[in-house]
Amino acid sequence: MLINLEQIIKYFFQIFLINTAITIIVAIPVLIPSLAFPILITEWPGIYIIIGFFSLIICGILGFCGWAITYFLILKIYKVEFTNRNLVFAQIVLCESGILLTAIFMYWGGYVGASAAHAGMAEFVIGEIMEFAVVPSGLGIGLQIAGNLIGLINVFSTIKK
Amino acid sequence: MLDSIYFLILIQPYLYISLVIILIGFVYYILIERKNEVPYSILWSIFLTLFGLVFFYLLNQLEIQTFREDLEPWKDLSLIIILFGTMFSGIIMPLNIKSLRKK
Repeated sequence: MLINLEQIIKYFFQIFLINTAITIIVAIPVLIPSLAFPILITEWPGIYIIIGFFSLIICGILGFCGWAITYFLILKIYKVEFTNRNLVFAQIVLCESGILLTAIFMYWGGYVGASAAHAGMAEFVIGEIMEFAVVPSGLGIGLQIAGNLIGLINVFSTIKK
Repeated sequence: MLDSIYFLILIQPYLYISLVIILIGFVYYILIERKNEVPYSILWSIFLTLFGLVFFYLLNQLEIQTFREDLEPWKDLSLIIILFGTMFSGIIMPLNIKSLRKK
């Protein structure tokens, strides 16, 4: 089953815009003084907030922008107009769900852990508190890897045509 | 690689069925699917089963390394993914062979 590359570029561009909006929403809590983000980021598990936020920027915004440009270049340079529909949709679903899972749980886990560290809790207690976010974050990273691999396979198979 | 497979079979002996079906699926892909046009590709189900197996393996490693006891729902989820992928492979292969014979 084939799909037009121009349509795919539109999809990737739309998801790029949606992810930009999500990133803006995720950044808003930094401006709320009662949530104490600037203080919590300096505590040890606060780095996970930054990792979650940057995964959204790097994979969600730059990644989807990059894929849109890649498919655009395939269209322009190789003059191929169609690509495999199943592979592209699998790539979009896996990448987007992976990005959101990673970003949400890293951000959430980091915030909860940093709050606990700021309250003076012991390291092993903080680890216990943050445990809920470990598996979903890992699953999200796995989904992103799988999605990007499928994207690469699709790019090579499209160029080969 | 073999150590990981041995580890998985030790933890969940029924997983050898999924591993055998993955091997059969690859043979089927090379011998039949690559040479003919089929409605459903076996590669999707192989991908699903492999994803579930890697997920299950990593969860068990996490459990061993951190002594966590709350991973059962995640392990069940990974086993459901493996089961779904294996069943999908088991259904797709005869269906495709049947449709090819009809042609």
